[in-house]
Amino acid sequence: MRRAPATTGILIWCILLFVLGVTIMASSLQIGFGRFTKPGPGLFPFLCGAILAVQSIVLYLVDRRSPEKGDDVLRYPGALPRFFWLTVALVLWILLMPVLGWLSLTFLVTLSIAKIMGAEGWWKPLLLAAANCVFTYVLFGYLLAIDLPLGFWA
Amino acid sequence: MEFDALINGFTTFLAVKYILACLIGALLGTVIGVLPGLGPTTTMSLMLPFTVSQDATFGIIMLTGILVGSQYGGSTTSILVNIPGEAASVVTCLDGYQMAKKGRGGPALALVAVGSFIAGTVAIVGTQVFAPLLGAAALSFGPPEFLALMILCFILLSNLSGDSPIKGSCMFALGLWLSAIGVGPLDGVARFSFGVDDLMLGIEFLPVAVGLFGISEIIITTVSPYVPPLLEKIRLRDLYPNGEEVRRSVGPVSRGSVLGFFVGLIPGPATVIATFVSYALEKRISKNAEEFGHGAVEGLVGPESANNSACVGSMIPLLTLGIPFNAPSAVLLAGLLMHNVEPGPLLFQNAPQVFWTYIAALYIGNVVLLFLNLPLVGIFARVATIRPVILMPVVSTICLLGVYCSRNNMFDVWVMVIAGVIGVFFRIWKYPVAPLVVGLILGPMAENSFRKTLLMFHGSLVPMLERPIALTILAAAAIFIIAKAVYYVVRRRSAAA
Repeated sequence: MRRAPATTGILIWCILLFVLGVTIMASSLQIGFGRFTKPGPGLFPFLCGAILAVQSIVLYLVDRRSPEKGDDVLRYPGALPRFFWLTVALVLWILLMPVLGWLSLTFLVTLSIAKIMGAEGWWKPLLLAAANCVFTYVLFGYLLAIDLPLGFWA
Repeated sequence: MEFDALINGFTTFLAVKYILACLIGALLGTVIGVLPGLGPTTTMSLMLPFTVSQDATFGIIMLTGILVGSQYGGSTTSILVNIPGEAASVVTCLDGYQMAKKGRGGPALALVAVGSFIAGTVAIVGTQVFAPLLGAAALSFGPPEFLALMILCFILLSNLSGDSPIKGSCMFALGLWLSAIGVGPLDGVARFSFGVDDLMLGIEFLPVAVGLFGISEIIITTVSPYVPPLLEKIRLRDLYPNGEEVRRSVGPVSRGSVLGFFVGLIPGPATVIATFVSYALEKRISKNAEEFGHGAVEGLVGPESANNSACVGSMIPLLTLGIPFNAPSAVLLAGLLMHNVEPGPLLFQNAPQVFWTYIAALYIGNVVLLFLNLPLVGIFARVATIRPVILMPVVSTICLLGVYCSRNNMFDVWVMVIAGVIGVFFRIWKYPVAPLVVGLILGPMAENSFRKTLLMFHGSLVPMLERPIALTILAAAAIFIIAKAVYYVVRRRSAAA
């Protein structure tokens, strides 16, 4: 019986897992196996890498027998751009924290995510962003008294 | 002596801040249980940095309140909106929503609340009785016994989380490897740090958990189309069940309480498994089997009771052995370790007040939730209708700030965001994330047990079989594998025939 080719997504996953497993095994050998009577720091991660590498091959073979279809969540219209921009918003929060401070970023990120999710108009997202700033200030700044970076407000 | 210890646990609640912790935890847990997607694991993880600023007692009470509250909240939306608030409430939708459509939503909520209270109480009594006994027995556990438990955990968790044991085992191994990043526990050698200072400190549990459970959920909610839920209206005076509904609930609640407690002891998504097992049992023994799926009371209260009982029972392995068998107990372990409280066999000797405070928190939380859920059920149900465009930006900033606050280290936030993005692809390709999270927290213990066992037995693991407890645990793992293989072969033959 002719086997179906593995779906592209599964193939990519299997390759990634296999490469990761082999890389872990190679790095563990460099760290040092030790001996079974005196196990070194590389033995345990080596076994973890071996499990990953072997199971990635098994996964590939199982998928060839009965191909699996992934969830369609990224196939909805506009899903990929929203995914991309949301990730950018989160990364920018990290990169701009020292410059803009946490309160400004809370406002901007709340506004950005609301617009990315399709909030209509500007008044409601601006109100939400302002309310979230107040909420996070009361929670983190006042109740918990945590010292967060102020950026240019300092 | 144990009664005195329990009374001492209750006297803790004379302090206002602990009552507040219980109330906030219970409320937050119920709200989170109502909201689909944001489960107790994410919320408990996010609350960890907040509990660090307080003492261990505060942290335990709040985290316990969140965990138990989420079980109550999940059933509310399952019944009224046909949307399970969390995975263990999926079965509740089958008959609960059908009851609501017939105008019996109020009685359904009341029966579930009371049944969950009874089941929770049974499980708490069970915990009180069995946990100290198991803790005493666990004092004779050595590295070989803990290694055997790790192997059992690996096998059960891989097989019971998700559809594919291969994917489950990959994720568990990945979690174990992530725990090995940084300076090794036994010899101080830096592993997989690639010269990066932050990696020398290791990958923390909190950003990975919040990323995989929280950020990935936020991303998926952002990219998915929003369908407003239709809410069945409910009033306080509609909450009373009739005599027949009460009579039909007694058996399922009793069975669910006991069944759930013992299912809670196995690794994996114990609450989810307990609900499905209870549903199957009730359907099999019911005289009204044809009603199941169309509003059978037994199909609702049995699984919900089992769910609550399993939730409490699943904490016993953590408290007595120091081993979390699922993601929420992994978070509770992280919380206890942050307060320098090490659960396990020595907990009952070194810090028994922690255990009895936890038991008292369960009793009080159970009562609080019963009296909170019924009058406020309308409000909680409305929470499920809050649009994600309002909720997700707020939750995102809380995730970002909460994770940053844990160590004031931006590296943790990077880990969270990366874990969140990768978590989306895990969800798309159905890789269960719970085994990864449990592997991450169990990794140091697993490695310690493994290396110490090899040292003890001069490089061999075979002498483990000469130790009765280790042999019993390994035999249980072997029986499970054999049973699964037999079931697979039988199923394939039936399908072929």
